Parts: sequence; structure tokens; C-alpha cells
Amino acid sequence: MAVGDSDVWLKSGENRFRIATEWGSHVSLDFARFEYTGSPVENTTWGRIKSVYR
Amino acid sequence: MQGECATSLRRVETHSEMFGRAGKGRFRRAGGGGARVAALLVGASLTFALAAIAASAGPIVEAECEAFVNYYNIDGLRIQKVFCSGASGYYAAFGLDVIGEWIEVIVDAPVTGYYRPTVAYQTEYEETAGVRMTVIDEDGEGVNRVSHFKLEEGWGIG
Repeated sequence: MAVGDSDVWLKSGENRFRIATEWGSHVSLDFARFEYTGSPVENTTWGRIKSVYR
Repeated sequence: MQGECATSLRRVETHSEMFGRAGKGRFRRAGGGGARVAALLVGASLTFALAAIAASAGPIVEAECEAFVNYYNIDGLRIQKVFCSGASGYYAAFGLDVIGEWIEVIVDAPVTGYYRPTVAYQTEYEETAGVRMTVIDEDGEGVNRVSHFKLEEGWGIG
């Protein structure tokens, strides 16, 4: 079980992905798992602190 | 060794399995009287904390690699679905024995966003391997479509 070096972006619904061998040989692939980590940056609403009370 | 795969692919534990094991362990170790009450309180706190973590975690989806819809075989063994007693669903995609060979799989995501990918795979005993995942039907700008995986220890037989 290996974790990828970076998150990937999936759209809602069906996504087609490819798993290719980069090095090594005789690879057997069991399953791929995707754990949601966050929404796209462009949909994020950023707030702004106007004042600080002490 | 065509038509077989390694027999010791790891299985993934679900959150509910991990949660249940933690609760049982706590109560078995508890003594009588006050110690038992204290253990119950600690157990309850742990239960709520784990429930909060589980509730805040995002959705998880999986795709079986043996359900590939396309593949690219360069040489050697043909890429195929084979029985594998240690794999999830007892099957795996087998025959990726040349660098550059690939399979294509479909996964159904519940929401749009970033996902942390993991891949359950293996190679021959004491060999290492690396694979690359590419999401190929999404062309949006500024989103990552590629993730690399390294398997530094192999086990089982190929």
C-alpha cells in the first residue's frame, strides 16, 4: 500500500485514471483509494480580519 | 507464472473497524469500582473524539484495478485480471512487467475536489517498483492530475 506524493483533482462523477509502471517489473495492482482532502481553491471564500480587540 | 498473482496483498482497514477495536481494548483493561468509572469516562471521551474525527473526514472512494477498462501492453505477459487470494475482492490486475505499461480505471467521485490517492500493489519478493497515477479526462487548469508512488519493499511472489 503506497501513498501518492501529491493529491489529485477529481470532478464529481466518473473519472478515468491511468496507472503506469515507472520502474520495477512484475507489478500486480489491487485497488486505488481516494480520500477527499478539500475543495478546489477557486471555490474557497477568503475572509479578512478588520480589527482586533484586546 | 501466468494466471496467478502474489498472495499477500494488504487489506485496508475501515474507520469503523479501527474504532471498534479501540473501544473493546479500553474496557478489557479496566478494573473494578472507581477505576471502572474512570475507564468509562475516558472511553466515552475517546469515543466522542473519534466520532468527531470520523464525521469531519471527507468521503473515501475506491476502485478495483482488475476492473480496468483499457490497458497498454508493451511486451511480456498480457495484462489481465487474475485470481489473487490476498487481494480485495480476490482479484487483481496482473502482467505489468515492462516499464511504461498501464491500465485505465474508472472511479466515481461523490464531490469535486482534491483527493489523496493510495494504491495497493506489489511486485516480486525483494523487488521494488514505482507507479504513476494520472487522471486523464480532466483538463482544468491549476489542478493536479499526476501522483507518483514508490514501493520500497516487495513481498509475496509474482
